[in-house]
Amino acid sequence: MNDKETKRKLIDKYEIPINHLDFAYIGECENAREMEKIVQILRSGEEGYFPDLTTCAENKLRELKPNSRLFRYEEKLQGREALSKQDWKPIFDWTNNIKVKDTELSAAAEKMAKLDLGVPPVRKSGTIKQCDETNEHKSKQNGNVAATTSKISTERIKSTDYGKWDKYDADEECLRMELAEERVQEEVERKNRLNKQKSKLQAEHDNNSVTAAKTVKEQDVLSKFTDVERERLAEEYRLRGNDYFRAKEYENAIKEYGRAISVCAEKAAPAYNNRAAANIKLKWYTEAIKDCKQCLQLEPNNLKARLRLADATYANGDRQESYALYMQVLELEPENVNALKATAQLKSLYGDFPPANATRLHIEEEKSAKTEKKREKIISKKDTKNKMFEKQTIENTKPVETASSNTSVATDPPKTKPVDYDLADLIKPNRLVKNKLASAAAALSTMKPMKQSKQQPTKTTETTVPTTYPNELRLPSDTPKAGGKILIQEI
Amino acid sequence: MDKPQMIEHIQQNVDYTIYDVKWIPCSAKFVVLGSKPNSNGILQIYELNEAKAEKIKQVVKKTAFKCGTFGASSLRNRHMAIGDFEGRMQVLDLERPDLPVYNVEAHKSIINAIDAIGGKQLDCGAPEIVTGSRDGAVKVWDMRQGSAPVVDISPETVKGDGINRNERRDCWAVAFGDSYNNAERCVAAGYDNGDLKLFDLRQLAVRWETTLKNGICGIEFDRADIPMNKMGVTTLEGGLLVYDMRTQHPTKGFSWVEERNAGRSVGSNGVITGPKSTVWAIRHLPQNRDVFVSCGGTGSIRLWQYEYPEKRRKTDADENEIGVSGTMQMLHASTVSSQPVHSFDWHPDKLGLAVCGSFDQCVRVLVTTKLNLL
Repeated sequence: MNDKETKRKLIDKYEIPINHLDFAYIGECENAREMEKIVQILRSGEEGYFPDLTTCAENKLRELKPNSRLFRYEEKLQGREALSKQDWKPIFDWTNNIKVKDTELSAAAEKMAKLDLGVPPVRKSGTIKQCDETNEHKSKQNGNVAATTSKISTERIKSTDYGKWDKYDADEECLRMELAEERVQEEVERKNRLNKQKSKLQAEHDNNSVTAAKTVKEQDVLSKFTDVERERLAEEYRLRGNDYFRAKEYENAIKEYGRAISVCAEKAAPAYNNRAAANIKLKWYTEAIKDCKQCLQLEPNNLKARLRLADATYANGDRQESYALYMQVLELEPENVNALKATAQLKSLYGDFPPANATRLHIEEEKSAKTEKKREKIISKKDTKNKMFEKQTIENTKPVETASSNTSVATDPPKTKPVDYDLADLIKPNRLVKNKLASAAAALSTMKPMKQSKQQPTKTTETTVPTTYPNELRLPSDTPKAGGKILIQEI
Repeated sequence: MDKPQMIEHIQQNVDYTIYDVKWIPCSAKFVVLGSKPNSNGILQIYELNEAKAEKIKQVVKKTAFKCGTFGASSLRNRHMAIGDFEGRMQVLDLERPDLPVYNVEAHKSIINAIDAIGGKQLDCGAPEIVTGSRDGAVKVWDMRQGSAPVVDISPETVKGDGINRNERRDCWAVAFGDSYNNAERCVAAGYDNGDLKLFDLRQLAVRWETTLKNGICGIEFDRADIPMNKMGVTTLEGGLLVYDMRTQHPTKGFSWVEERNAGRSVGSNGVITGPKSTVWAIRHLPQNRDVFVSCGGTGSIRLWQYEYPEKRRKTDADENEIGVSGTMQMLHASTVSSQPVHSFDWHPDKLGLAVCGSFDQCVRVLVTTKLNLL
């Protein structure tokens, strides 16, 4: 029977019509399973040798099912010559490196052989358990249902005892055995279920009982470690973090990286770098930026960290800042595809980027000056009053503001004496001043110039300073008020 | 080519039967355990030296060695726990191997498998060693406790059912897992009849059990010191199973993905021929838990990558959570030896460096490239 089966041709076994072994059919076929069969038939050579058709079928299969088992090839094991000398170099370097560490460790072991790792105490001698369980259900099974079967098995019917064999009902016996089997199955399932519940409950309990005392103990142990040991421990945490990262459990990964950093802060650059990546995945960009900066402090030329810093900054919304950071990546690797793409995109977004060597401060200044000009233009279009007046109102509101902010620190009225304000000061709180400008303009347009110059500052104080503040606080605005009066009167 | 590639770095012939190979943590040295023709146990230490492996130490003892591990040793005390053919478990200081640090008559018969945990990690429980033996028992040892095991998982003598007398299953594989804090810990054990059992050491109970079609040769959790994630199991006749251990269904247990014929050589044209062959061992890469190697009875080594499904758990009709298994992708396969490759060890510190032992009395140091790109 077996022989026959092996002799049967594949084409019969798979029930593929012979006309399917055809270029046209293969071109149309969309069924990956069938395609696999066709490839197997063609490869077997049972229907003849068609190299072109075989490759055609293989290509089609690759299209339909790229990771089909049929593409699993065994490769010849290559010897040492498969790698070039410079490929071997890191391996040999590593060997020498690890040997140094090895001797260091041995020396440490000689010096202080016993190291209290703070390991938990010996387990309470768990006597027996396992086949308690299996025996339990075995004995149960033997005990109730299969009591008779076990009896029967112990008291086997002799082949010569015809009288007993006449009484023996094979069907009943079969049924009995099946029942017994089922019962065992049920028992196992019940037990599994029970165990699962138990473990769940206790796992929760355990999670809660993780205490801070442990971390203290850990620190204590760490202080006794040699550098090699700490390094290795940190690496282990980092690798564990990597595992979590690959499994897309980023929060856990961040936790592990954090441990790695705390264990060995001097060589934590990769851990910082990885944590940054995890933070980016979780869209925690500010954290990521921090980590990248930490990593760059340890390894200023870390390309990945630079790129991640730029990416995080970009994603965090500071697109213009990120441009300079991408340029820093390009400094290190001029061909970096990601950085090139990003800079190109940024350039197309904001056409007038300064050259790469421009500082961040530079960009800001230009920008703010520009916006300031724009704002002024808009306001002048409104034809409310001329620029001079406008500046005046700004000056009027300004001291009040500083006064209000000062009051929280010190309530001394003399401290808030009139100050000469330069333009830079005016620009700083851009928005605030602008807001007041609008209200001031509105007020101005409805009231007479004389009254308005008096009312205006008090109005703004009402909005910015709580009414409970003493009157003296308003004093500083007096002097500029006078100036304002004059100016407005001139108009 | 951005696929990983295995390269034979060093081939070292020995004059005894190899049973286990292990790297000494944080060093360029590896230990070979075996049995001399006169059934004496032999332990050799080799050190990598550019393109050679130099023998630096040899220890001979009365009984043949079967298996060893460094799992319970810290970096400072790199002691090896070894199980031998007469059921003795000893812990050797490799600097002073004459007098064992710990020595116990653990089993009545050969110790087939050993695993240990807790030496290096800070917060995953006490250092413990588990042994599985032909006498059917699985025992957990703590070196601080005298000659009695801390946990004894032995089957009671089963009274024969008339036909099969005294059936004691032969334990072929043991592994620690789920040891993510000081209390929690599991032992998985595989038996010659295909029984697979998961023991909870904290509750001292069987957490889960199932039976596979074939005897179980190798078990390994992808990581021992995290909440159970995946467990790889290899069997006779080429079974390679990976269980998703995150979600346990009350009745169905854990879900798994299976690869049959993983022990055979893949033919050069993708058509598998030849007899079904045992998969002897599964070893996860220490630097990436989703990549592992399986060692086949035809002397072939296969490198796999596990891919997680979109969602790792779903709820079934009864509102119970059930795990969803992923898929296995073969990355590389090559035949290393004409005889079964039965022991394999990734270097814990160097990505891609591995040593493997096979029954053709040859130890090979392998380098796998491009693993960092996965």
